[in-house]
Amino acid sequence: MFLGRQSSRRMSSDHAAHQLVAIEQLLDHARNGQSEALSTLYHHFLPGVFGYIASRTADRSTAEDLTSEVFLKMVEGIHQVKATNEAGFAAWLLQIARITVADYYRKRQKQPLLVSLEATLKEDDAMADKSDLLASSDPTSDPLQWSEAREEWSHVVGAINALTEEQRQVLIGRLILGYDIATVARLLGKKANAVKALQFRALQSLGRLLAKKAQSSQQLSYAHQQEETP
Amino acid sequence: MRPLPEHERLHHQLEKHLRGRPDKEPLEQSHQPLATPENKTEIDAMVALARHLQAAPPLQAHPDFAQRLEQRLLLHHAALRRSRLQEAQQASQPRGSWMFSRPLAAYLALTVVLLCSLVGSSVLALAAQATNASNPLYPVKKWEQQVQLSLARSPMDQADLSLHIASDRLNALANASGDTYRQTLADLDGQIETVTQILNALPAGQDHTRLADELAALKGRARQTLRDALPHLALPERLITTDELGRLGDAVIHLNYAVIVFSSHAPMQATISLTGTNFSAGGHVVIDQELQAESGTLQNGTDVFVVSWNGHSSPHTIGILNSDGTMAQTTVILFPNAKGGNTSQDTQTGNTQGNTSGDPHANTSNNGANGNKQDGNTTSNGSNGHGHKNNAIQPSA
Repeated sequence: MFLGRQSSRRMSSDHAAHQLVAIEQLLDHARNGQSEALSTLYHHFLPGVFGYIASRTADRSTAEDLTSEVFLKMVEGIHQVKATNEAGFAAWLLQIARITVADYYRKRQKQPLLVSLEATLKEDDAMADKSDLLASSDPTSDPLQWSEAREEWSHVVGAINALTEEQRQVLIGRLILGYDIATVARLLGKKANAVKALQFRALQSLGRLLAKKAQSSQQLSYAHQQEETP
Repeated sequence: MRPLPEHERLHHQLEKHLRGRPDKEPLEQSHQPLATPENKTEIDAMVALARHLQAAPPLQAHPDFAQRLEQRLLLHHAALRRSRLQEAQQASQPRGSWMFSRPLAAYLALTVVLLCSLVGSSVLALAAQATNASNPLYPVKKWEQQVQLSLARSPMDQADLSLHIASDRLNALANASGDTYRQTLADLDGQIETVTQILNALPAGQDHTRLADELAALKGRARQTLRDALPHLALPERLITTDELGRLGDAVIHLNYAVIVFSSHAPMQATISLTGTNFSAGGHVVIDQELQAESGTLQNGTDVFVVSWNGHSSPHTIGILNSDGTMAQTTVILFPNAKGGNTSQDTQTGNTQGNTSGDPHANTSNNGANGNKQDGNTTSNGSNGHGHKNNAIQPSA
């Protein structure tokens, strides 16, 4: 086996260099129809692809459906892909993921979930009803906590969707796939300094969007409390 | 000193907190960005957000989902491979084979549709009874089977159908020859591969056990059928049949490499030593697809043949026909220096057919450069007039 599952998450530079070589062999074997190589590639890139899609769709089952679509397309197109290294292949997969998510929203005839910073509680409730967030959590254990967590995650998805595509890919590459700056730079076709700047702006924007949302929620909550007080 | 930009400081902190190590270009203490209380708080908040995102449960795929999707992918991959294999086989059919030539494929499809509409199920019923691959209705039967396969609702249904089709191909092999034999054998191999892929993706349980038993039984029957067919086959078909037997788990002959030493005196002779596995006594050497009359002498796993040699160029392939009817062939041919018997060798690299197991010696030169000569000594052998005598015999039919 060339690559361990989730192995790239905390890889050193030497390890990364070794894997860059190994993945070339894996790609060759997968192109030649070896199912074991295909399986290894799948396990290696599943966290990144799923993480990318789950960060853009609030519903876990939708994220799973779209992830399945991406990997089926990978199987169908792997003999044609030109990528010869991990960054190139990851870029190809994330491009498929981006198009698949866009198609999903196009078919649903709606835009990705955008969180209005002045959203009303009513809108929040409607959004929470539509979203099947944190499907893995057991809602019967603590429905209130589950609902709150669901709503919180919905805000995170909305904020991530408000980022640029490059900012999203930097976050996925760095945080989920565990790539170093140089690998993310190859993935995006940018220089390392540009990736550092993107990384900064992504986290800064995300933090500000979430902070504003939290502030807005607190104000709404305070207003409700005032209304209920006789 | 110019302070580093904020994103440099964030990057450094992320490397420290998320990856558990400083950046591969660690910042010296003097290069640390000046951190004001404000930007320190902001950077810390960003790092905390990054850590929160990294560990967020909604971004992690469930193991159950991962496993289900893997099985689905492998099945999809197997189906694609089968479909591409069939397309490749159809594309490789010679133009003379009107049944599969591309323009006429459409004609065939139209004809089949018309036939179906005119004669209805009676044609399909007749086709279903066709067991001979050379029967004109046999392609209709194959088409019908492909339709059934594409309509299979579950992997188990698909596996059952593939087993049925494999069994049908096995029966058809008995009366097939030439291209029909090759096509039918490739079909059989493809169906067995499909069932194997489905079996591998199937979790342990009753279905798995049943399918494994049925596949093992089919493989056993296939080995027997192919062994029975061997004596009636021409050399090229024997070669692919031996390959198939190897894939089915049979112990078959494998040829690693051949060493040819030419005598320096008249009458010109060549001593051909074949190294490999599963040789049996009474085998015959095959030079460039021509079976030679001389029998070999088996010594410590090496079969040695002395054949008359004149008037022909150096060989491209050397093979061996085992007494059990199996055959192996190699293009890895070594020509040691005939004078003095030193160890320098002229190597003609190539590949080996007959089995998948390999010998390290042969593998070192088996680099895929099929037939490329490494230096000039081989050429000089040929230009000196060495060549194998054309005393070929035909395999028993």
